[in-house]
Amino acid sequence: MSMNIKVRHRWLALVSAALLAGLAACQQQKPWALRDVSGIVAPLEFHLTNQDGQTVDAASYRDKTVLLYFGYTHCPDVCPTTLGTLALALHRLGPNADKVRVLFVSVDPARDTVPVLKQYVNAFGPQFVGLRGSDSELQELSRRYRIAYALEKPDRQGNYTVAHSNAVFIFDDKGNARLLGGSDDKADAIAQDLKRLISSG
Amino acid sequence: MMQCSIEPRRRFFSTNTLRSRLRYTIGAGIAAILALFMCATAMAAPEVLAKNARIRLLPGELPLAGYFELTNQGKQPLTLLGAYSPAFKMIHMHLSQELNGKSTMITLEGIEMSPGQTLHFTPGGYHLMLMQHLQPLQVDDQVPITLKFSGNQSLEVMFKVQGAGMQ
Repeated sequence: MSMNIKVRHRWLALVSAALLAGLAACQQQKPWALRDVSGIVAPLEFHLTNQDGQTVDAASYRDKTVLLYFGYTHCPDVCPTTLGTLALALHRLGPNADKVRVLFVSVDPARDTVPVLKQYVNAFGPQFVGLRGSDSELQELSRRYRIAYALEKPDRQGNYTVAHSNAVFIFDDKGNARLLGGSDDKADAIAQDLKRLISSG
Repeated sequence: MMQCSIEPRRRFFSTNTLRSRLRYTIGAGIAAILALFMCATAMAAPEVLAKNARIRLLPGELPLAGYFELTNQGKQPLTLLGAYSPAFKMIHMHLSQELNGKSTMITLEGIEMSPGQTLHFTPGGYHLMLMQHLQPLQVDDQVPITLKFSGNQSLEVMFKVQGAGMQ
C-alpha cells in the first residue's frame, strides 16, 4: 500500500515537472511579430558589389543582424516606404542599431549604378547598404530566396518600373534565416523582433 | 479671387492706317476671348479639400512620390484626372498593388469621387509619381501641384517636401 502511494507520488511529481517544463518552454517561445522562417529559408549567402564598389559577401556582415530587401531606386512608392519603415525600426533600437545592416539588393542593376546606390542608401541611414550584381548573380540570388522580379514594358520616354517581391528577410548574426517581414509590417513590430533577436544572439 | 478685366493694350498697336486699325481690332478681340477663357478656367474651382500634401524627397534625379488626402465636399461626383506642376516635367497617377506576390504599379487615368468621399493618397497605395525635377528640391520646400478634375476644374495644392524616411 505504502509502496503504491510512493509510486503514485513519483508519477505525480514527474507529470508536474513535465507540465512545468512545458509551460516554461511555451513562455520562451512567445510568437514573433513577424513570420518565423527558421530552417525554411536558406542561410545568408551572396557575392555582390556594395555602394563603394567593393566586392562583399555574407562573411562581410557576420556578427551583424541582417535585413535583406530587394528593390530598385526608381521605385517611387513601395521601396522607399519599406526602407523608411526599416529606418524607423532601427531608430527605435537606439545604439543597438549599429548591430544591424539593411542590405538593399537592386533588381534593376542597369539603372542602379554604384554612385546611384550610394546616394540612395545614404538617404536612409548609416546602417543601409546598397548592393548590385550581374544579371546572373542576381538570378542566382533570386532563386535562392525565391524572389520574383520582372521589368515592365518601358513607356515612350523609356521609363520603366520593376515588379518585385516585397519581402524583408531577417538573418541572425550567424547568417541563419530567422524572420520574414513584408510591406504591411509596422516599425514597432519589426523593432520588437529585432531587439529580441539581437539580445538572444 | 482673381481679378478678370479686359483692357485693350493700345500702345502695342499703331492706329495710323486702316490696316493697322483692323489688326488692332482683331488683336483686342483675341485678347478679350483669351481673358474670358482664363476667367472661366480660374473660376472653376472644385468643391474639394486637400490635406496633408507632402512629397518624399529622394536623392538625385529619382522619381518621387506625392501623397495627400482629398475630400469631395460638393454634392456632385467628381473625377480626379491627374496633376501638373512647374516643378516636374511629368506627373502620373499611380496605384501600388500586390499582384502574384509582386508589388507593382498601375497608372490611373482618373479616380471617381462620390460626394463626401475622401481619397487617401498614401504610401503603398495611391500616389502621384513625380518625374524629372525642373528645379532642385530641399526638405521643407513648398511645391505647388495643380490637381485636374472633371468639368475643366482645377485646384493648386502646396506640397511640403519631406525626407526619404518619411512615413
